[in-house]
Amino acid sequence: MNYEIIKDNSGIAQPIEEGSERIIWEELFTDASNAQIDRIETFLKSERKFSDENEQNILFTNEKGNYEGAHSTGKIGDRFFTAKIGLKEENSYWCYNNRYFPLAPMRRSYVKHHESSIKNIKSIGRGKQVGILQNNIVKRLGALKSLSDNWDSYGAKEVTWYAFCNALMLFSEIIMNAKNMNIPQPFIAPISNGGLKIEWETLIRQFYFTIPPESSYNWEYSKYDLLFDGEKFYDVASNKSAIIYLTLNWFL
Amino acid sequence: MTCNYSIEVIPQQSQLFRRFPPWQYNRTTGNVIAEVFQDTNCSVDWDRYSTPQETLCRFKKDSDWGVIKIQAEYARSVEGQQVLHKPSHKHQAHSEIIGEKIMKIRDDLVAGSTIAIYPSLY
Repeated sequence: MNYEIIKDNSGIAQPIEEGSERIIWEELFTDASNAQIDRIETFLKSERKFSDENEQNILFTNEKGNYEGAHSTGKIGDRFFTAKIGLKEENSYWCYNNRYFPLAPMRRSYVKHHESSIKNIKSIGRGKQVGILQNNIVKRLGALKSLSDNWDSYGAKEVTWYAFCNALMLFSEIIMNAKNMNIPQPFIAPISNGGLKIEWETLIRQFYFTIPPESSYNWEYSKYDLLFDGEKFYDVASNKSAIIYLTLNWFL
Repeated sequence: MTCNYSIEVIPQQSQLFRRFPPWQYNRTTGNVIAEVFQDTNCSVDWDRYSTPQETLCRFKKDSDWGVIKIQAEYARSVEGQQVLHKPSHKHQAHSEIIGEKIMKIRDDLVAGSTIAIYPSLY
């Protein structure tokens, strides 16, 4: 299979071969057998029509900034899916509706190929690539997602797929949109209801928010500036986009 | 199964202990996240029947867990919060900080708390 990628005038990368849907599936499931790809495609088609608009591909890098794998998140119908493909088998899986499908690990040659062109890629085939995420954030989120129920010994719920996928998309969008800003390392922690807590902090400023476990919960946030605020400000954001906007404003 | 322990009134001066996992401890700031007090019925151990070490060891965990403590009087002073003794069959110290906990209330609770046992790895 040829994974060559070309770019059109807008700088958007496109697969060069026709029948791109099939090719992109094989791209996502590099080294997977045809039978495995067929099984996943059949499964997806039997559920509902796949919506490209909802898919977001996130590439992540190691400490040296080299491309090490990809996360793909999105929705099929009203349910989230996620796929992760890395260099090792244990880092490669596909999950939809709490069902896991094993994936073959990404070939090193394929990673090398992507690494060389990664800087200019805006989109790869189906879905939208929303940015490059630091591997330490992905690792932290992955570790928290792997916690099982009762992780706090008081009956806490495991981190939900809703919270996990939203965190991936949110961080990716923030990092992509904050190119020239100095982004401090966030602290990410699990919450007993299945959500996540994000804390951004500098010597004089704080911005904290929660990622809810389900859509029916609130996105709570607080912000504080030692120089300008008399006291901490608390509010509820309507959705993820509002939190991204508030976060980027906070960085400025 | 019936509980053998009678329910008592927790005095204002009492300390309440709650263990926390390393994932909720920010080693950069040295703070526990406020969401250790997330639950509406937030379980704690009353110091009349428990020490911080016993709270830590009650649920067998690795040594990188910690224990936070809060005074009953302070917890009751936070908006909408009650502190009640709720012993169970094997756990006389079991108590709860009861009340809805939005972000501000969680922050208030953790602001009045101190770490009794620090996670040992940090």
